[in-house]
Amino acid sequence: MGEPLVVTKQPTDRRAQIIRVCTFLGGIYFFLYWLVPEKFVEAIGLTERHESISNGFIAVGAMAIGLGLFNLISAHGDRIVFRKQGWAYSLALLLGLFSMLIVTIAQWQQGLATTAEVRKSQVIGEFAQRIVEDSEKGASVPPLPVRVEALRRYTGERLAELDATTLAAGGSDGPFQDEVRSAASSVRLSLAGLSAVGGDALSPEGKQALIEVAKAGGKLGATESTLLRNRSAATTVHQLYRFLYDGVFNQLGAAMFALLGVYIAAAAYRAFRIRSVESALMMISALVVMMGQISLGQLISDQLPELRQWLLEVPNSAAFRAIRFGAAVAGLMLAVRMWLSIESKSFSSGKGQ
Amino acid sequence: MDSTTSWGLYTVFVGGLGTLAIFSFLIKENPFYRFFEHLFIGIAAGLGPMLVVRDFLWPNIIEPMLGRTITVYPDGTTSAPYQPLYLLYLVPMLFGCLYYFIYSRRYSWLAKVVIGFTLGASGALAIRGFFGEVIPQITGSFKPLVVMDQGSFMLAESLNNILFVVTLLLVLNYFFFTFGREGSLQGKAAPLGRPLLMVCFGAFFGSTVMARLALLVERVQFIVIDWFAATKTLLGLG
Repeated sequence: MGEPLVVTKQPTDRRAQIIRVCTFLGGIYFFLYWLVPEKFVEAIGLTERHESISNGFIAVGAMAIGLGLFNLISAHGDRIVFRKQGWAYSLALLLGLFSMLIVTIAQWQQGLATTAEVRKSQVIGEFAQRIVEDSEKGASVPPLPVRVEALRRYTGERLAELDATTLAAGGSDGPFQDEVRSAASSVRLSLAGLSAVGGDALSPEGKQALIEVAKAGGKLGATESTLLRNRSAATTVHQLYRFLYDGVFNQLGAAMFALLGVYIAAAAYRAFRIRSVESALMMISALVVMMGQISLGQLISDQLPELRQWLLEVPNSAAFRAIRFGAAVAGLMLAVRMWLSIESKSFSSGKGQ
Repeated sequence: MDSTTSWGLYTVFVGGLGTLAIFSFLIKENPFYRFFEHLFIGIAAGLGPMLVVRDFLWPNIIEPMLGRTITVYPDGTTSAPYQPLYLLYLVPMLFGCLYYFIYSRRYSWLAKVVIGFTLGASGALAIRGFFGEVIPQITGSFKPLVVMDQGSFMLAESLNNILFVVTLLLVLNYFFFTFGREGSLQGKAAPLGRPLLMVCFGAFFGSTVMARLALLVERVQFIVIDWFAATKTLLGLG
C-alpha cells in the first residue's frame, strides 16, 4: 500500500482565485446596473446612490496617482544622483514636475481660501432663505425670533469684517470694491426691515423682509466673489501657474501637434504617389476634402465645398461606421474576456513579479 | 495670453522659445529640443495628479467625507445632516492603496487584485457602452432606402441612403473572415469594400492633414506676431 494521495492547494492557486473573483466583482455592479430593469433599480434606491458608488470605483483608480510620480522621481532621480548620461534632461523633467506640483497646490489652496471667504457672505442670503423655507414647512428648528436675531448678529459681524479686511485693502480694483460696498449697503438696508419679523409665526411682511435679505446677501456673495477672484488673478502664485500652464505646457503641446503636421505632410507626399486605382481614389478623396476646406478650392469650383461635405457625410461616414462597428464587436469580446479573467492567464496566475 | 503685463511678456517669450525648440527637431534631434521635451513631460506629469486630486478626489470624496459640503448656519442648524455613509469611501481608498504593493516582491500579487478589480469594472462598463451606444448607432445606420416627403419621392436623399447602406454593408463584409469566402457571394463582394475604404481613408487623411496644418499655421502666426513683439519689448527695441 502506498502513501494516500493528498492534494494540497498551492498559495498561488488561491491568489489566482482571489484575483479572478475580484476582477469579476469589479464588473458585476455596472453590469447588473445596466441589466436590471430601471424600475427595480429605482425601487431599491440605487438610482440616487449610483453617482456616489461610481465615485467609489473611480476613487480606487485615483489612488494609483502616486505610482507614476514615484516611478518618474525614482528613475530620473537615479540618473541625476549617479550623473548618468542625459542627467541634465532628467533635471529639467524633475524641475518641471516639482514646480508644477508646488504652484498648482499653492494656486488650489488660494482658490480654497477665496471660496471659504466668499462662502461667509453667501451664508447670509442662504440662511435668510432657509428661515423662510423652514417656517413654511414647519420644520423643528429654533424659534423664529432666535433665528432672526442670529441672522442679524452674524450679518453685522460679517459686514464689519468685510469693511476691516476685504474693503480696507487698496489697489486697482476700485470698481469691484465699489460694487461690494454697494451690495453691503443693500444688505444693511434690508436688515432694517427685519424688525417686521415678530412672534413665532412668519407674517407676510416678515417673509418679504427675509426675502429682501436673501436677495441682498446673494448679491453680496456674487460681487465679493468677483472682487476676490480678480485679486487672486493678480497674485504671483496665479501668474506663475499661468506662466507654466499657458506659457510652457499649452505652447509646447500645440508645438508638438503642429510638428506632427509637418510629418503628415511629408507622409502625404509618399501616400499620394499613384500606384493603383485604389491609391488614386484615396488621393482624389483627400484632395477634395482638403481643397473643399480652403478658399482656393472655392476659386476652382463653387461645388467643391459641397462635394467635400457630401463625401464626409455619406461614403466616409458609412465606411467609418463599418470600421467602428467591427472594432466595437472586437472590443465587446475583449471586455467579456477581461471581465471573466480568460483574457490573460499570466495576469491572474497569482505569481509575483 | 495677455502680453501687456511683464508676466504676460515672459509667458509669451518662453512659449515662443519652447515652440522654436520643438520645431528645431525638424533639422535634427538636439539638446535644445530635448530640454523642452523633458520640461513638457515634467509639467504634464506634475499637472495630471494634481488635477485628479483637485477636480475629483477633493470635491467628490474628501469634502463630503469630512462634511465640508455642509453649511453651519449662525443659529447652529445645518444645511443638511452629515451622512456617515460617506465614510464608506475609505474602503475603496484603502483598497486602491493595494496598488503600492507592486513594489514588494512578496506581496506584489495584491496589486494584481486591485488591477483586476479595475479591469473588471472597465470591462463591464465597455459591455454597457457597447449596448448603450453602438447598438443604437447600428440600428440608426440602416436608413430608409426610399425617402418620401409629403407624398413625393426624394431622389437625392434616397440615392444617398442607398449608397450609405451599400457602403456600410460592403465595408463590413470586407472585414468578415469568420466563414470561408471562396466561391460564395460574400467572397465575391469582399473586393468591392476596398475602394470604398480607400475613399474613407483619403477623406480621413485629408481632414487630419488640414487640422494639423491649421495648428502649424497658428504656431507660425504666434511666433511671427506675438513672440517677435514680446521679444522686441523685452529687449527694449519696441
